[in-house]
Amino acid sequence: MRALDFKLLWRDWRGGQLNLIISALILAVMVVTAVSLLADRVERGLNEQISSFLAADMAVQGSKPIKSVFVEQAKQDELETADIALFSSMVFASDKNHLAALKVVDEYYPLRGLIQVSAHMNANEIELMERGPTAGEAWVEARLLTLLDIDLGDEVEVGYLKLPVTRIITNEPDRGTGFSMTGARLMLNQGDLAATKLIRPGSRVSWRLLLAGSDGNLENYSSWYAEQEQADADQSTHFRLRTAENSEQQLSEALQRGRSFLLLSGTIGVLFAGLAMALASQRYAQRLTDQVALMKAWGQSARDIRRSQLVRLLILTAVASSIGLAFGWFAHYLLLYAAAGLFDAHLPAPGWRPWLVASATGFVSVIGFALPALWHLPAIAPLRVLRRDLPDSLLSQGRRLAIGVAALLLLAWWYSQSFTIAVLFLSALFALFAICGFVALQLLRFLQGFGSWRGSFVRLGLANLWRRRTQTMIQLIGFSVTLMLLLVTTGMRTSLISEWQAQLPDDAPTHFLLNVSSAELPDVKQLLQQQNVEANQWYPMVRGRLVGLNGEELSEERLKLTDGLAREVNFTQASLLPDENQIVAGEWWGDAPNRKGAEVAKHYFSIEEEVATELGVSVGDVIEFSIGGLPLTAELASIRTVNWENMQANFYIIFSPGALDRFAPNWLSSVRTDFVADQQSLYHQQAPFVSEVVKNFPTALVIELGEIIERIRNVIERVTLGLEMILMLVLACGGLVLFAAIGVSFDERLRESAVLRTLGSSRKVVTGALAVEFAVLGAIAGLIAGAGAELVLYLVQTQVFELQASWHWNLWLLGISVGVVVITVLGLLRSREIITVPPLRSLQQIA
Amino acid sequence: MTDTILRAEHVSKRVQTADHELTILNDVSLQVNLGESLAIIGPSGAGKSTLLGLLAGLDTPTEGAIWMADQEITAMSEEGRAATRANFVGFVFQTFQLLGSLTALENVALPMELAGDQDAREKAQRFLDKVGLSQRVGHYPKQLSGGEQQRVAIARAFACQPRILFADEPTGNLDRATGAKVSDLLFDLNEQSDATLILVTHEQRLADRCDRTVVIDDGRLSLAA
Ligand SMILES: Nc1ncnc2c1ncn2[C@@H]1O[C@H](COP(=O)(O)OP(=O)(O)O)[C@@H](O)[C@H]1O
Ligand SMILES: [Mg+2]
Repeated sequence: MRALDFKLLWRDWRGGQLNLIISALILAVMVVTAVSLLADRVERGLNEQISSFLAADMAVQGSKPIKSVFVEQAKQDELETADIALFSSMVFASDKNHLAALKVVDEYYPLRGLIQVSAHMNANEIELMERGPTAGEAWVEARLLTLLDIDLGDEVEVGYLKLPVTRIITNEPDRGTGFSMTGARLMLNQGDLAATKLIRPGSRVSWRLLLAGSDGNLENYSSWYAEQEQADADQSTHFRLRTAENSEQQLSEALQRGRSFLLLSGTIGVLFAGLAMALASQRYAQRLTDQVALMKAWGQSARDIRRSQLVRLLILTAVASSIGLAFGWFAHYLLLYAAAGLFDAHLPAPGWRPWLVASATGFVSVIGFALPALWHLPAIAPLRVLRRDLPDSLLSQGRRLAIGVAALLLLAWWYSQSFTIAVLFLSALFALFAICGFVALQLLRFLQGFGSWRGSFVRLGLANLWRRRTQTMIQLIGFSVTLMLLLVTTGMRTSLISEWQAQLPDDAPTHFLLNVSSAELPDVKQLLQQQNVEANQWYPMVRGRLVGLNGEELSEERLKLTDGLAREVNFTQASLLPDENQIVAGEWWGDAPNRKGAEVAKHYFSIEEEVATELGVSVGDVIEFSIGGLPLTAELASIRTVNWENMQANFYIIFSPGALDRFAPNWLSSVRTDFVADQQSLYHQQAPFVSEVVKNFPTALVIELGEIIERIRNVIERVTLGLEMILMLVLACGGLVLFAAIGVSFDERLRESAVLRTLGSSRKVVTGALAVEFAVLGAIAGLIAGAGAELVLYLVQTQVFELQASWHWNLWLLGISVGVVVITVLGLLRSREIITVPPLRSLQQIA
Repeated sequence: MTDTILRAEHVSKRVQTADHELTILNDVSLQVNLGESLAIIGPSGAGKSTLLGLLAGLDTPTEGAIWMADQEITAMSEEGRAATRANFVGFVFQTFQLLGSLTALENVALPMELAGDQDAREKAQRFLDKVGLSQRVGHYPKQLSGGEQQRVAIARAFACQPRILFADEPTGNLDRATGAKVSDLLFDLNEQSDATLILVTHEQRLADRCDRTVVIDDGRLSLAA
């Protein structure tokens, strides 16, 4: 009977009875496939990089040059070693420049993995290299060539040295997370480093000693390192032993979270698809009732029918899921496209897990949403062929709801790998539904009052909405929640950053100048003056960290309580309280507070309020700092608030004048130029002073504020664009819910419209009533969505970005118009039979 | 082996309604011979359909026993009755009961396909020829008139070559002229086959064409006057 099952299924499909169930299933599987394929590939890509994250088995990483004891011990433990250093620097060619991510390597790098390079502009014919560039050449990432507008073979200026670019780097074994937030890579040989004159005391460099060897030897080294760390405070402050595990952990946790987040947003789609499936299945079951009764009268047993039903559902699920998987495969490319630039490494092929997750989603959806509505069919009494008024023993609504929710919970649990998250997520979602539902009901009730004095079809439409309010509510909730999420992401994508930018003061700086040495400072100042560039206050800057409090050691755990001070941070000294800082405790020092008597200078410092609270320090506490390995003790003189948003140079900790003098500080300032880039130009244009500064002072760094904002905007835009695409699919699921909900009342509507038309109402009235019904539905959904999105954006603006709240009328407008147009068009499309079928025919059809 | 194909003894059907017990059939006994055609007539609401359902094994009586081809179907489980129905029984209904998503040909072929008949389509085609609808095989029920739909249903019932054909008011939903044509067809085909026909109707005219008539009124059976 296998063939017959196919045949029966085919006939149902041909009759259009399965359209909705199948579309819902395809969409649900498609959403989950696309999302999990993307997540899987990104995860794999990153994991692949992590596994050779270090280009070694272990690495000692420091903010100071690697101590010779580290190397000696490695020799003793028979480990291979390689030296590398990473730092940012301006590089330039003719009049273009870029803040590149430099990597200085020796002839042993990499110890693990290979460098992928190409000698062709379009990066084909990849060569795998066991070592990096030799002295006298530079290898670069392809985008650096574009940024500098040069070709392979051209020279690039790195500090005081000119190097020809000989290779394009397509991948390196320790390129990190693959997120291209930093500058483009330029790799050069250690032998060239001195000639660049880029590294000076106080330069911000990450030094690494790469280590590789047998497991036993590595273990020996680790334990030696741990022992050494106990004894040497300087080592624990400035160096860290990185292993594959401790590099991997954080990242894979973040990835796990990201994947659950994406999948959970996909769950909303599954939920709507499930709802559509349940409604459509109910209608399908109604239509199957006669067929089943007939078959039973002909002598088919309940068991035959159950078996056939399950086989058919199985086939349907398998086919629809396969189509969903295929569509999902295409859709994940769209998501990848949206995320383009976030991951610049080539992503590896996905594993089997996404396919499994997605297919299981298909089957669980059918079992959770479609099957319960069909479950009673085999039990239909054969007597129904004679007495059609016999009741069906349909599973109760409550039971079907419970099964559906259980299925969702199961899926959410599987997606998030956490029962708590799944429960919380679904509770939050249902709470959102409840709120939207409540608001929708009030609006509906309010409109209901208007119906009595409007034109005839308006009254009819409004009355219909109210009369079928259960269905109306289902549709309203589905649409308002989906639209709301869409509006939120759209709002984030389009307005948040521009609002932030718009709220920057007119005299906000355009560039930051940093890494200027004390010797260069007068010349730099003069150059800026010549170029008519206005500089704000210059701050001397050193990097260091907190090590002790009132004579006791400050533990790592305690430092981790603060967002800002757990790592090395920038310190400065100043005689005047910076603008927009306010003292909330203690006192700012006067002009010369640190020379009390002639003896030992006593130093003071001021700390930002939030970290002071997190750290639990108060005025009068004495804190010991470590700066470039040297100790500095100072007394906490004041606690102040900082306006972080003003785009000036801001510091957590400011010392009293003179405290940092002996630490060879580099200078930092924010500057403002009136240069406006030509928006039409293809090339990124720079203010003229920038090239002057980097040419004359190669170690100085110039960071363009617009560029930073552009990068943040880019990340937000890509992430929200991806989310939006997922939500579009969710919206499509919402459309199916609309279709299915109309389907539930379809026969009733058909009869009513036939009666109306028999009674002489024109087609226009019937169409008008339907149009009013759907348009009002769409408007209410859009209104709720707009209000919800406004609320979310208000919270994001004020709480996350700490901006002034502003209205987003465009979103309200967008929500309402999308709601009205989409729902009216889809609704009328689904109802066209109601309008066009001659009344006599429809009366006959339902008789 | 007798030539009695269907026998009912002291069959009663009572149902519980909201406030009292309703007796639909009261102590009905009946015997039908192989190849015979029997008309059950009576006013609307008399219990004709109920009796037909019991005789066909679609339902079970409150009291009494029914034998179909010497098997006591009232002693069987629903599964057993289903098997018996599959072996012996065909139906024609007042409301045609064609499946809307199937063409005329598929409608006729379906019960044979369910029974695993390999030649279902050819037989269906042949029987559609017999009812004069060879031009309409690919049409869906909603493209056919009421009379045509009932002709398809008759083709479907006979194509399975049932031993007993139950017809519940087969012309009840048709106008007089069409009804006459459809009943001609029903009796023609019945003559060509050796099926036993049990016809429920409230039209004397139709009952007259059967070998024998029983009258049912208010749940009680009496012989035709
Ligand atoms: N299961 C039942 N529950 C309640 N009343 C029933 C049931 N089955 C039949 N009846 C009632 O019994 C009477 C006889 O029904 P039926 O056999 O369909 O009559 P007929 O076919 O002669 O018109 C009708 O009044 C009908 O409403
Ligand atoms: Mg009847």
